[in-house]
Amino acid sequence: MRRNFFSSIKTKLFILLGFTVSIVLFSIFLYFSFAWKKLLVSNFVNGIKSTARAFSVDVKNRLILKKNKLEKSEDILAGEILSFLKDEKEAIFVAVYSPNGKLIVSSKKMDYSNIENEKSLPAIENISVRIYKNSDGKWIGECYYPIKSGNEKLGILHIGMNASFLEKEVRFVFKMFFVSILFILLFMLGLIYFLTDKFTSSLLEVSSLLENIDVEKGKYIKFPQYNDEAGLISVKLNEFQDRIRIAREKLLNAERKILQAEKLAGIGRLASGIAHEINNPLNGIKHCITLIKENPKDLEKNEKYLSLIEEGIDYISDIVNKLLEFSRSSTYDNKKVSLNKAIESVLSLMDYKLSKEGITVKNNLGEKEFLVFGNKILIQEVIMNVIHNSIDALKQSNDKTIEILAENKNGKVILTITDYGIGIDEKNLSKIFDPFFTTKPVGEGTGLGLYVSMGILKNIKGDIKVSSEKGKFTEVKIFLKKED
Amino acid sequence: MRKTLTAITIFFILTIILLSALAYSLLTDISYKEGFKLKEKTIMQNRRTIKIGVVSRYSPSLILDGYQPVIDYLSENTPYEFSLVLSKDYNDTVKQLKEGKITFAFLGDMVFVKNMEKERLIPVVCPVNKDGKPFLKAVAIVRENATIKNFCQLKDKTIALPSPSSFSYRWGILKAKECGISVSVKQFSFHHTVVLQVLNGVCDGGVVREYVAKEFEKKGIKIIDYSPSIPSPPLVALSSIDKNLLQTVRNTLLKFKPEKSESSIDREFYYGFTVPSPKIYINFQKYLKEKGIYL
Repeated sequence: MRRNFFSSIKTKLFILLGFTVSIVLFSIFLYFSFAWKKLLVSNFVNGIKSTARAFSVDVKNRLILKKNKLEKSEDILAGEILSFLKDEKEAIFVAVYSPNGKLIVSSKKMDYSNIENEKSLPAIENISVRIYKNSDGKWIGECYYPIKSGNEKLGILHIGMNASFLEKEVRFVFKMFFVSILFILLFMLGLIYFLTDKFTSSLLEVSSLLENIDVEKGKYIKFPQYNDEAGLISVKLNEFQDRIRIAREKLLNAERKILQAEKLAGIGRLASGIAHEINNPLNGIKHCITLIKENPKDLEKNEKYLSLIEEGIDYISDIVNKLLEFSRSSTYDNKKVSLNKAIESVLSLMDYKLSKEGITVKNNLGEKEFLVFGNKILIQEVIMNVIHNSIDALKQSNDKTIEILAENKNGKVILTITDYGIGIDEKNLSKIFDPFFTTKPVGEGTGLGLYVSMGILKNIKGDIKVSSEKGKFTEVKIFLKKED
Repeated sequence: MRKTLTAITIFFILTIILLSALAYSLLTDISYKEGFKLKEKTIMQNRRTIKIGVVSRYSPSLILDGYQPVIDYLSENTPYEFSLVLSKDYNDTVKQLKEGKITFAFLGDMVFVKNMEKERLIPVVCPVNKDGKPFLKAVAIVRENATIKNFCQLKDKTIALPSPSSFSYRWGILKAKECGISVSVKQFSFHHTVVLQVLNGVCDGGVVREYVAKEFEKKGIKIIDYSPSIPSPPLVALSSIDKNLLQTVRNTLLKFKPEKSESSIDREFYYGFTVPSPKIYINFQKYLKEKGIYL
């Protein structure tokens, strides 16, 4: 059985769990990436603040001394700034501004196109930090550190540090997390696949075992016991198979009974003809016996009469044998059957009835022998059922002819029986194989003939098809497996 | 069903890829901004600026942080604007006072006693100790784990002393003489330097003001001797000062109660101020003369 990959429970489970795990892992990845970035930036900001705070102590002293005119602090400040820049490798520049934002000293290279802005600074009230990308595409971290004592504002320290390494660290962290999450995701998907496979394996096994069941052939499977839900299905399937087996046996028995009943009904329909067939030779025999009694010493004539009596008895014996053979309860033992002989046998039994109705049978099989696979008695029954129907159809007809034709085609032998009787109403064509369907008067038909015939043919891989036109003809094609 | 699932899967993968790209873009943008609050423009009132001198006994930033809260307090609670003027030594401060460059000055008690009559200086207020008295002591200190139990055991040891113009220095020399011991003296400009020299083992002992020593008492220093109580170093002014200004400053500083935990204020001012009687400085002058300490 072809399974739809996307509609299987395994796929659905895999996709559902895969989506969920992917979303959860991706959320974790985003959360940790941003948290880590925040931590890195926060560390950098704290670092630059600490650096500014530490350096501000020296600057503060110098600013106090400058304010009190105790020393010329610009020189010392410049020296300290250069010394600081030498020690602090990541520092890019240091500048010191007065409380109102005027530049006191700076290591920055001034932008002469904007020198007025470079030489003054907005009066920043609190410790301020920013990280930005400069025009060269490099990340710079800046700290503005207001230096004050109590309410007394002494100046603003401005420090710039290289922050490009921070971006590299963030990139590294992102890649590291991304790759880690990817590996975890692959592992999780593998695990989910393994587990879904494990969870659904019993169902798949049950499914594959189901494919081996063939009710037609009476092939059943004993489903294994599982510990999961598939175990329950197994139990139910085993019970279901038992019920099917019993029902099928009952059905076969019923079919056999129907077959036998239909056969007996057929014999019943033949009874008057057969009686007539037997009665004729019996009358002859009786007449011969009377003649022998009248003239017992006429040995020459009596020998001739005895010969006629023997011939009559053989004829009767032949008819009775055919009848016995036909009426025997048949089994489904199939073998090579001569279709010609089966037709002859049927026509022989039905001879009287055909003659009585004035029907001519054109048996066009000729000398060629058609060998088919099946059971002779059952094939005869099929042919008899069809001819019975033709006889009934021809009762009101002027052209009382039945044509029998056989041909080999595609490994099959097709036996065609055609009558030019009343035909079948189109609306009834689809019902003729239904059990107990008949258009004949009560007592003349069981409605089981074609139904039984269909059953017999299906059993030997054969088929039966009927085509008809109301008031014109009925053509029955019987398909039989050819036997070489 | 199959088409729907395929579409959902493709959409999901594309969403993850797009979100990853967006996350990468957002993550690698490390822009940051904090602070940058600009000073609000305040309407400056035309207030008279009163300058208060102080000697930079410690590092300038320590002095400023220690004294600025008092200056801020005065500016906030009087109609005047006060500002600190640092000088390198007491003589400069006295000179600035005399020349009118400053109106008030925080002077050491020794300097005040020496100049109070000559320069007609008056004590405006002086800090009080934790008992509310206008006195303090000099103390001898050693390292916490030292076996020395009093000053006299510092025989032949190296001691650290602050400025020679301070009482602590004079008492250290006097005490060594009284004990009849010889000591090697290392002199430093600031009281805190003396403590650090003892703490890190450069000197065996030292003499500093009591409140400076107390600051380090549980940090590796122990006090082994106390000087007699001496008057607290006062905030002084010339006797010719504007009486209204004098009274305003006095009254304001008498109400001064610093928030110790939140302020970097000098420990000298922890317990507020009082108006000292000039008599305590006269008695201190007598004591110094009795001990042969010449100013």
